[in-house]
Amino acid sequence: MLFKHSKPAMFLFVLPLLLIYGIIVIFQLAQGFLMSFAKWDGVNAATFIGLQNYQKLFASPDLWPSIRNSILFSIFLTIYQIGLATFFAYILVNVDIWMKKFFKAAFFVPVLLSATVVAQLFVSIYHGDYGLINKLSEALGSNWCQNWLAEPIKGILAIAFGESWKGMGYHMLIIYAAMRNVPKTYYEAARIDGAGAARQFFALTFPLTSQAIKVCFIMCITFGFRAFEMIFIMTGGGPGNYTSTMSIMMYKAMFSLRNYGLSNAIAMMIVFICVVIMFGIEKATTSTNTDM
Amino acid sequence: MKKVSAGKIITFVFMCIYLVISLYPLIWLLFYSLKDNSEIFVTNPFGPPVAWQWENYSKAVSQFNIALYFRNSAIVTIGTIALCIFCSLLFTYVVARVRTRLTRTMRMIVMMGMFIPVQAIMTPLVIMVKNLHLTNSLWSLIVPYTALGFPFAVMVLYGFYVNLPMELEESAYMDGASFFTTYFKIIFPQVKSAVAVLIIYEFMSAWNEFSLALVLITKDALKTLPLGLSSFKGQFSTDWGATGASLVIASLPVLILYLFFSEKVSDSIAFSGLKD
Repeated sequence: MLFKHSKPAMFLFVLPLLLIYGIIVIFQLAQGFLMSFAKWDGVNAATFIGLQNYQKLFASPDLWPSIRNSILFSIFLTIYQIGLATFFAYILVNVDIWMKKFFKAAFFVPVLLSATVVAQLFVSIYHGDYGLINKLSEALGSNWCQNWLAEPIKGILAIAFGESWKGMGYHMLIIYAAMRNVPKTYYEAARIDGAGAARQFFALTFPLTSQAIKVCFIMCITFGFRAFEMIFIMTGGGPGNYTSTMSIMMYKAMFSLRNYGLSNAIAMMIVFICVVIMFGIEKATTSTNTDM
Repeated sequence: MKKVSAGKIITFVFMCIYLVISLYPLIWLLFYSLKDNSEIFVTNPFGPPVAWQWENYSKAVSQFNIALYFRNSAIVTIGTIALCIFCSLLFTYVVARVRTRLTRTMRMIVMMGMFIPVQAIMTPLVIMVKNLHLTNSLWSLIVPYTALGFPFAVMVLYGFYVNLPMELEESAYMDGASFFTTYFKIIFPQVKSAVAVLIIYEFMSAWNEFSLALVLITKDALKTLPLGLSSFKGQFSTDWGATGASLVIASLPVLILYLFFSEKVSDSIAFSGLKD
């Protein structure tokens, strides 16, 4: 009734969002896709060059180290964040220990900080001369000291640790919210049937919260390929390409090479990889979960 | 019933260990923001400061432009929150009330934005902002942040609108109220709790955003806090105390928000996990 007679008003209601979203997201996405097939410096008119940008990307000596770094980053993130988040969420919901509220709040605090703050903090933690870790190992009398961020594999894992430290609480809260929705009576029934804590977790908690865990899993895996802020601030991708990722390559293509076609091609590759991972995980989990 | 098992104690000890990992780096930061270099590097790297160096904080403000960055961040954050929530409220209302194929498609297209990596739109955005000569204005951040905030806002608000009974508006409309008055008098007051969740979420994401600010802002006078702070790298900066102080200042607003609204913050995070 009301809605049948108010077409112009409704049009005014949806217009601002569609306008902003259309210009900033849809239009730029289309532009980015088209320009990935063009030679473009952002000033002169773009010329179509087919797949040359993609060829350049695949010929780049930075690409494979970047992909390797992304995979390492993703694996570290997944194990640390999902592993600990699931464990802590389970304890906070199901185990009766002291100071639960405090633990939950304290584990979440790093999530609130900006990536810049965390990156700067970890730069000083890993600092070669005065960093927290090197000072600690000095105090413990070991010679573990090193310039953590300047080593090939260790560098990217050190950054991944910072990122995981920051993000764990986020995943913990998501999984916590899902676990709280599992009815208590299920656990009582399981206990009466004689199921132990491990059995309860794998037969009850995990299947019933798998949706939330899957969302976290997708976020962690794709994040390795999107990772930018912490790496950019902590090492800038260096030394050399030791800690480079595709996002860092994109930034360099944009600002040091001024090759906007190439930077768009890299962006499209990032999107492609993330979409493939997302659908892959989606597909793999729906085919195994049919009995739920 | 009150039996303390060994398993429980082990779990508790493990939680306490992670508590130290989670909080000590921040306490260490807070401590060194109040120390001078000799204390940080040599005499007292771990413990609370012996001689409290409050001037680190005044140095951060006077030497590092913190006040300016803080102001820019505040403008961008408030602008983003207002614009994003206003547009999403109106859009989602129509989409939730009139369910046709067209509105469903519009909603789906907006929601898809949640899965688009920001890198995909970065390069064209940089060029558009440059070509429109917006590089000298904070609007070049507010509008993109707003657009990127839409998917989450629409998702949350849709859930709220769908659960509001339609009779409210119908009867007001019968009494002769226009579309606008029914919305602002009757519906708008009902969505306060959803708006609170959104304010907190958008506040945290806009206040902390770095990547887009990095590529879109070049003038020092327009830098936001995360961008401004990124340029004095701890690695090379010699004044750790003042650097630490600026990091603490930058983090305070969000931490204070959390201190007062921790439940609401948790809610808004839990919401963002319901992406499917």
